[in-house]
Amino acid sequence: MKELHKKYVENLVQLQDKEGSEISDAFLSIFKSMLRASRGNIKKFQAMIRLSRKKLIRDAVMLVRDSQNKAKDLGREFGAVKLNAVEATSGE
Amino acid sequence: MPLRPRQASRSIFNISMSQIDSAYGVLETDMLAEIQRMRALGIADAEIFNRISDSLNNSLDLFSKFKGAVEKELDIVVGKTAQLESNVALSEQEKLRWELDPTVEEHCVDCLRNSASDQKSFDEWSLLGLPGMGNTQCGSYCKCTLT
Repeated sequence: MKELHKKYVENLVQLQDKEGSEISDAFLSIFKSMLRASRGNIKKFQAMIRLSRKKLIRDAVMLVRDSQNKAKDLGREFGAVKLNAVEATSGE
Repeated sequence: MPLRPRQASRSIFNISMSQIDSAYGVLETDMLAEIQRMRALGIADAEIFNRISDSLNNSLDLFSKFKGAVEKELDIVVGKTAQLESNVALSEQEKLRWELDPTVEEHCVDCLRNSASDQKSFDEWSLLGLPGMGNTQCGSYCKCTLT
């Protein structure tokens, strides 16, 4: 069980890192597009950041929901492994 | 009151989304303050634009802070959700033991205390706080599990 727990933690940490950088990079990539579109005008860039907040957060909801679903799958998988181990022990 | 996993999962999601929205607000405020600070120093808008560009292109300063805040929330939402689901699977078991995270050598006092305590039912552990739910000193970074 200890080895399975270890594997689960490693997979979980990997998933946390992957999902975190994917979503933060997605935000930064959009900001970079806005920066290019503002063509050197700092006021315009600022306005674009401000006006895009609702839409970007809405998009992030979808991405974070997707990340949460992956986390659910990972957790359920480990939960099933633990349950099987309990049932195997009680059946002995 | 017994733990409702679906509701708990939704709360975890809503809190993290609200934190990401707040981080976006902080980015806006920080950028405004930074621009005003540079203007007060007599820096021209063209140069301010260049500095903000550098900061964004190299993920520095306010953008680094925003990136860190988003990543922290993803750590929380993914960590808490996986931990919740992995323990809910054993909710029908009467005797559950708190197993320490095998990947770390030093554990917080709460996890050590929980691992040394008697076995408990899922509902009893829920009242004390399931692993990763934030009731231990290591908070949502806890990767202990119930077995």
